[in-house]
Amino acid sequence: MNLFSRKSPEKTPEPPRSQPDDSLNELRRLLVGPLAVQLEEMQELLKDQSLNPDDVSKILPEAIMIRSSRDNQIVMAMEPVIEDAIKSSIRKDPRNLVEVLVPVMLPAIKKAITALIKEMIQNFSATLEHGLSMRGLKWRYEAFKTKKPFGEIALIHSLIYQVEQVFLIHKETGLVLQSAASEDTVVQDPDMVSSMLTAIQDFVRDSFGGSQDDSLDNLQFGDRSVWIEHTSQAVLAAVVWGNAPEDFRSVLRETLSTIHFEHIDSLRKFNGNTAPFEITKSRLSDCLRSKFKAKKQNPFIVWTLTASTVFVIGYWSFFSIREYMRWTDYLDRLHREPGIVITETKKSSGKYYMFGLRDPLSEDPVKILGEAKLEEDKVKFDWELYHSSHPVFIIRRISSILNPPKTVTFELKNNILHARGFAPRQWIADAGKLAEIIPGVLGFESKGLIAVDAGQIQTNRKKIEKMFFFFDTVSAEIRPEQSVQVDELSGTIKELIGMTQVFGKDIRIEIVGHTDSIGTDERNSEVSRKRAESLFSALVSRGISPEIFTTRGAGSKEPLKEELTEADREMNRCVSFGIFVTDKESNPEEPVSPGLPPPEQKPLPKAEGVVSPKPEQSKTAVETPVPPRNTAEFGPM
Amino acid sequence: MMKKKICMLGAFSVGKTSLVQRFVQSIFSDRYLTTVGVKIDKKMLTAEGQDVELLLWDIYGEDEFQKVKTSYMRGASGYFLVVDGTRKSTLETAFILKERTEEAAGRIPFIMLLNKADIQNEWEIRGDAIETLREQGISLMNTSAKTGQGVEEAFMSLTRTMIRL
Repeated sequence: MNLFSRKSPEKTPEPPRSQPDDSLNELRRLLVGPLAVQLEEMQELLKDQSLNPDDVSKILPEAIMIRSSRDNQIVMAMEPVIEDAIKSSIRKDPRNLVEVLVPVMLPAIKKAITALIKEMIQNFSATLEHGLSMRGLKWRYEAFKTKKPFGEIALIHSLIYQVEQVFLIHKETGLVLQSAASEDTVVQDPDMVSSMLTAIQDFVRDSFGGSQDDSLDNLQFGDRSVWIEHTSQAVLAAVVWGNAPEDFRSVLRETLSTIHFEHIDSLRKFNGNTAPFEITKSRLSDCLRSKFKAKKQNPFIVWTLTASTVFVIGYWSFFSIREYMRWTDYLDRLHREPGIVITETKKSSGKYYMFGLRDPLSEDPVKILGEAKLEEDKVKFDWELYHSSHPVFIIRRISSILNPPKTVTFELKNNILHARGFAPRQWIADAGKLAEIIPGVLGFESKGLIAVDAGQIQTNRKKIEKMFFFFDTVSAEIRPEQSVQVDELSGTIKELIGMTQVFGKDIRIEIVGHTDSIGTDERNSEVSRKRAESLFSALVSRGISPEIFTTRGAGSKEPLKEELTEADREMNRCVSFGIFVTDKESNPEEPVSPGLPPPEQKPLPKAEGVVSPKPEQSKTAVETPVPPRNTAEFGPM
Repeated sequence: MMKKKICMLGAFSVGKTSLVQRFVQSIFSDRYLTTVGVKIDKKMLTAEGQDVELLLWDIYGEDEFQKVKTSYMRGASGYFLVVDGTRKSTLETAFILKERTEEAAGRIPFIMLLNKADIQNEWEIRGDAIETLREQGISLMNTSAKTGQGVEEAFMSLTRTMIRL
């Protein structure tokens, strides 16, 4: 068509040289155009073949299978890639691999641990059982002689039989397909042993003219024997120590038959590759059996061991529990103790360790330790010191700082310190200033305090010495109307006692009974003594300590007034008082009025019938000057 | 793991055991050779990219008093025919053993080892005879158990041949 068009006059004229080329190209296009296109496509296909995943995926599995059946090149090629992939996966997230391996590894680990524990228990049992008997001593000597562990010797003597090794052998080649051995067996190379075994079988068969089907079933050498079972393709040989029961042969036979039928194809096509027989390992391991002699129990040893064990456990338990209970009691006690806060306790290497806070004024934990019957060496303390806000400790701190006289008592109410009792005026003033700087004290209340000074002692003393109690003739009973006077006397004495305590003085009050001059001296002495004791009892019954009193019956020897009239005699039928104030522990005892000059003293004759109403309650009167008593009139007795 | 059984065959005193001892460390005594008639050793090697375990059956040498037990050859994947270059008669024995092996184990790879290469000037087997053997398609290698010449190469060569099959 183009040929004709080239002659067309309407066609635009072209350069003369180009017309033949175009025609040739056109002719070429018409003749080989489709082929050229196909050729180009094929070239592209060849170039892009490796880049076409779809096509490669179709042939890849088959290609791998074919190559794998030929040689090991695929494995070698894949090995580094798979190793790197596994390493990369582990680095990325190890859990993925763990999840895959756990179902495989866990049973294997479990089995290995179980076997190990079983072996240990066997050895331990054998050692325990035979350790103390004569037979055990003999075996111990054997172990010493052979330099083997005693457990192993005991195990050997206790064994009836043990299957030490099992070999699965390819019958034609004599090569080992798989083998298993018990844990404690020293194993020679299974391949060489089985080959040699095959050779020996061949040797025996050839030597004694047996046929190909004849085979050696048993080899005996010393304590060991080799039990051999055959099929047409495989041999199962078991090395047995001792005397295995005959039914063990049927175990071997059954195992071999099972393996034979499960792996008949692999056995027939065996070319030296033992990989297909890896899975027979568990079946071979099942053949590794053993049996021990029945244990003869020695009741004496068993009971002795049991009793010893029970005793040791009991002994240990008793002391452990006792110590634990003591420790918990001690902790309870410390928890209750104010000023002690336990923050942590622990026990390590048989010693207790205690950590916490402790107020220096609290009870000493070491002292309490002794009370709890715990050894001091067993407890180590680590205290941080602190100031407890417990009222007890505030009071203790107050006592320590204010140094109050014994006559002062404290009470803390709402952090206000209330003081009561007798105290020197100066101390009260000082205490008011100091109290508020004590931690836990917000104020000081001194309304309950009675300020005293030395002059008041002398005043009260004189007041008491001017008091007399008069009695009816021969009577030693205090008149009812004198009860108020006794109360007044009692109050004054109490005040005086308080004041003397404030100034650190001792006080003694002598109660002296008197009579008129009528009657015998003996009777008068008795009556005067009873009158003194009546006053003593009355004062003691009002809460005054009996220890400060002494009583004395002066009879008519110390009349208060010369008896000229009946009124004078009445005056002499009385009880008078003598007050002796002394410095503490001063010796000899002297009457002292604190802050004042000593009172005028006159020597007095020794009184007769001076007794203490109760020797354990009152001091025995000593010879002391009695002050003149001129304030009462004497009356008839 | 690939396992292969190979046999060392040859006339008495051609140097089979010495060649094996050049190649492996034995655990069994040589007394097995004179009692059972065979001693077995093992050698691990890598050939053609595979780990191979060779079980070497060193079979007692044949002489006028004792014939090699063909039962030992059963299941072998290959064998060496060892010839003492200084004794021409051992070559004849080798051929006899070759025939018996083929009867017992079939046509399996083998290499004829012309041993005692260290004293080649004393050989009775001449070059023309060797050339004839080569023309018959028999693989030949010169070895010396004394110097170790060709031993390793012989085992590797046979192993490679067995694996390729």
